[in-house]
Amino acid sequence: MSAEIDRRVFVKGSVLASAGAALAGASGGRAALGQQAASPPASGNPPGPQAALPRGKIGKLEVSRLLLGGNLLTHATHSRDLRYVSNLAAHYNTPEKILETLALAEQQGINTLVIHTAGRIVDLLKRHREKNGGKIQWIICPTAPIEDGLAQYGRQVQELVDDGVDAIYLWGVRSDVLAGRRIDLVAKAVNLAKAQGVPSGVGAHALGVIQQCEKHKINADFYIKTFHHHKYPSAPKPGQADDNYREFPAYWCGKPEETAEFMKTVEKPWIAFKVMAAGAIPPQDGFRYALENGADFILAGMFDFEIAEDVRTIRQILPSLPTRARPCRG
Amino acid sequence: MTGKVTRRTFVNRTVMASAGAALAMGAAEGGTSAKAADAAKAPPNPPAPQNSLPKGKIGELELSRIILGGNLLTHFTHSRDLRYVYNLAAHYNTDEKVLETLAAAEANGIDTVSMHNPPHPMSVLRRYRKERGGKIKWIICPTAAAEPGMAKYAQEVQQLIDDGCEAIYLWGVRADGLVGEGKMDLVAKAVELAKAQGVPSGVGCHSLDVVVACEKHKINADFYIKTLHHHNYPSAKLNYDSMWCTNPEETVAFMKGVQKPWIAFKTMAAGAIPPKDALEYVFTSGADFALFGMFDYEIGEDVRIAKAVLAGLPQRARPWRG
Repeated sequence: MSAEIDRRVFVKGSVLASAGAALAGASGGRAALGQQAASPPASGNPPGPQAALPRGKIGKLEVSRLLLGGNLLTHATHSRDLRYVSNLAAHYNTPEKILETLALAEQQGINTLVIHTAGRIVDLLKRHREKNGGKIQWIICPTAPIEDGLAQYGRQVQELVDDGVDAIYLWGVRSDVLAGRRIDLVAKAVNLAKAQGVPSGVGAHALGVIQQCEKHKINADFYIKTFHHHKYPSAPKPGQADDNYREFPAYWCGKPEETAEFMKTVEKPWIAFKVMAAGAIPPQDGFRYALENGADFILAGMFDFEIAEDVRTIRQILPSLPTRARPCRG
Repeated sequence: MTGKVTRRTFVNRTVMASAGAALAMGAAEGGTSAKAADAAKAPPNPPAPQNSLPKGKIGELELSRIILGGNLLTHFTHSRDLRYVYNLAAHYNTDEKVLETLAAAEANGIDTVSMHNPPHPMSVLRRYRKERGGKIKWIICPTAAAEPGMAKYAQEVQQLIDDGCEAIYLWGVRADGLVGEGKMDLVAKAVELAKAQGVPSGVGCHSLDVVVACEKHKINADFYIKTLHHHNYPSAKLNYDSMWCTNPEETVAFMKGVQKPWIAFKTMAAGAIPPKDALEYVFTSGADFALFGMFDYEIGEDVRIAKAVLAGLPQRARPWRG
């Protein structure tokens, strides 16, 4: 069992981290993937841990190259036909365990999480900040429907901003459907969050979303696009990946080669998600594949007992990356 | 989160269950499972206690029709290519949680657990009896190789007997291999070795060939533990740690002629088949007992399902044999 992190340990860790980052100082220029981000810590936030993870930038937001994914915290495990795994995750990842996981992620240098507005998860995130002194940044997608007028969506964006969200993006489930038919609504959703002064992104499972956004010059600050290869037993066989994503055969990036190719032309930061195909690709393999093929950031779902090892993994990968066809964009 | 079962609540529930069972002993036979047994002219079974799980028998050993499986307790989740689930199960099913799970099983009427014998999980089973007063029975397979001379295998059998094991069986992984190599003499010796210790002695297997060979060679087993599940689930054709009974129809057909008790295992195909579907299938198809891997929070619901399934079974193709 992973060592439990109580508040005292967490606070102590944060203080040590602050001191370390202060020593690290700042330098100018855009960081390469393996380098520490250049800018000084954002005002009011304690800097990252002593041996901070390399960071990049989305607008002015400094983000660790490894982000904590939200699906294991919200128990959406995507475990193929093994439905019991979602229940097991729910029984393991209790609210208390989620708070421990957030603290542990911060201790390990992960400074940002990405999640959707499922259940009461935002309340838990607020508890982490308000009661535990947590500083992890939130990139959140509202799950409200996107309809003409954007009334519900607008309300959810406003709530997230009021709660202190650090960046917002359009949920991939929504954009997959809208991009080919109502790109005007995609644009409005992006602008709505942007008007609130936070970086505003577009999520997608379908490569077509990114292509449409680029074609129509949607004013997004970043993309969150699925990315994984198909070399795992439950992956689709050639010709089977004919949808945006599917639970069985299990895939969330139907066209990895085309995605890598198209993203070479995209100059906005790219957070790759589902890089482990929801648990089938080992971190070493999934992280390396995504980073070598152009992703700027890695979104990885992790249980508390996996975080330290995954952080070690990305620390090893980042300095050893070959020259990428796609330059670092974040 | 499911309510935790403390030792006090466990003892209370056990006492209440015992009282209920005593009251029920003199009552008329209840439950469709008992009626089905009559209809099939099988050996008479004691009536199931009111409000508890129906039971059957292997030799003199009385067992609940649902037996707690061991793979989730030992963290062998067989979760296809999702390796992290093994770790997640291990982090959830800590020693303390396994102890709670055993207590929850007993409190819900499951009186037997079946697993293989890795050292640490075995130590938890022993702790459960010694520290918690647990009564759940053990049906355990030694994992030692069954080789000529049987030295290591015999040592593990002896250890299990010393620990108070109620029944022993030859591990399916071993039996599949031995039968495939035509070493029926070693299968027979393994069975006799446990039998000589005075406990029911069975044979486990994934391959139907094992049961066929044992019947042909009149191996003196008291029971079989044979996989059974249908193939109506998405990962059935994945061919990656996702199928444990390759020929269910043939299995069902052959088992009709087998007169020894049959404990079906991997009945949910390691999590892909819902409990109700799995139980209806295996009990209708002839299994006498179903081995069910369960986390603590699943036990209450699965027992409710099992009771309903057993009470509503249609005529079975195979009479109850245990």
